[in-house]
Amino acid sequence: MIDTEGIIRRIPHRYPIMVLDRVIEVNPGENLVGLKAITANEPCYQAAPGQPPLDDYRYPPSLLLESWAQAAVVLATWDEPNPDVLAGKVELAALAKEVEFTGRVYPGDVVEHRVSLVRQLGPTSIVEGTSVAGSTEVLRVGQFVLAMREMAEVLAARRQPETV
Amino acid sequence: MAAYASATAPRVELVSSEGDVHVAAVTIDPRDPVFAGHYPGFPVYPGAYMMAVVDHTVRAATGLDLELAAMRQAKFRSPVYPGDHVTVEVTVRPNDADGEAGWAVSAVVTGPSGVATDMRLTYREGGS
Repeated sequence: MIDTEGIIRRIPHRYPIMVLDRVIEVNPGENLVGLKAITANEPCYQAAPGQPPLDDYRYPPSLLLESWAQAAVVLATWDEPNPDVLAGKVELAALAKEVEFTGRVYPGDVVEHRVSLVRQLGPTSIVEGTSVAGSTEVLRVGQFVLAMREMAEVLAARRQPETV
Repeated sequence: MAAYASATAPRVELVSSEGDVHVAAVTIDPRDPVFAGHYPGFPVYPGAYMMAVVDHTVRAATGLDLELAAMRQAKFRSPVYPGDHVTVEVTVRPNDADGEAGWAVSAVVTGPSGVATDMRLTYREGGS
């Protein structure tokens, strides 16, 4: 079992977007199971200034996917964890395919993310999986591609934008 | 219409709407609290937040009560950074697959470095 402190030693995400709480099972190079508990006190539930109070507490699908993706990063970088991008590398999402939001998630739910590593070739990792809340499937990820990029390369690309 | 939670609350300024195609201008707010954690020392806009920007654009453009059903494909081509001005072009078409009322959305987000993200989403009617 890898607790939150163990997770932050493996991935660079921090508050308010560290949305993976625990890893309960890992077979390195194969698959991983992680947990995210949803609470009404999360940053996403803070009403924006001037906006009406929420009356729908569904957990945003984008954050559900982000949470699953962080579990995927833990699996993909298991042999070379990268908790600090300033140390030289950053794992970026390149592609997502056939992502389905099959169930709604609410405060009080504990979401279980299941990630499988399909293939890893150099800096590129292909993963897939599902997430469940209790016995309800809430997310299906057909394919998710992660790319480990050198920070020097990312920064160089930023300094020379393509002319449109 | 329900006031729902979102990853972030970007200010989306619609600049044009012609038929199915809607374009919005969005500035990635450098004060967004997310940057403290994504990532310390190297702030870069999360892909999940880009999904929220597209979602906000679709809602602002159509005024429809929608629930995101699927992301058929999303390509994250280049990073987006604090302060970047991006345009979000969404094409919203009815999609009655599976006999359920829904919408198919294709979105292109263009930033200072060219196309940052393009995605195809499926929405169904909102409501509980």
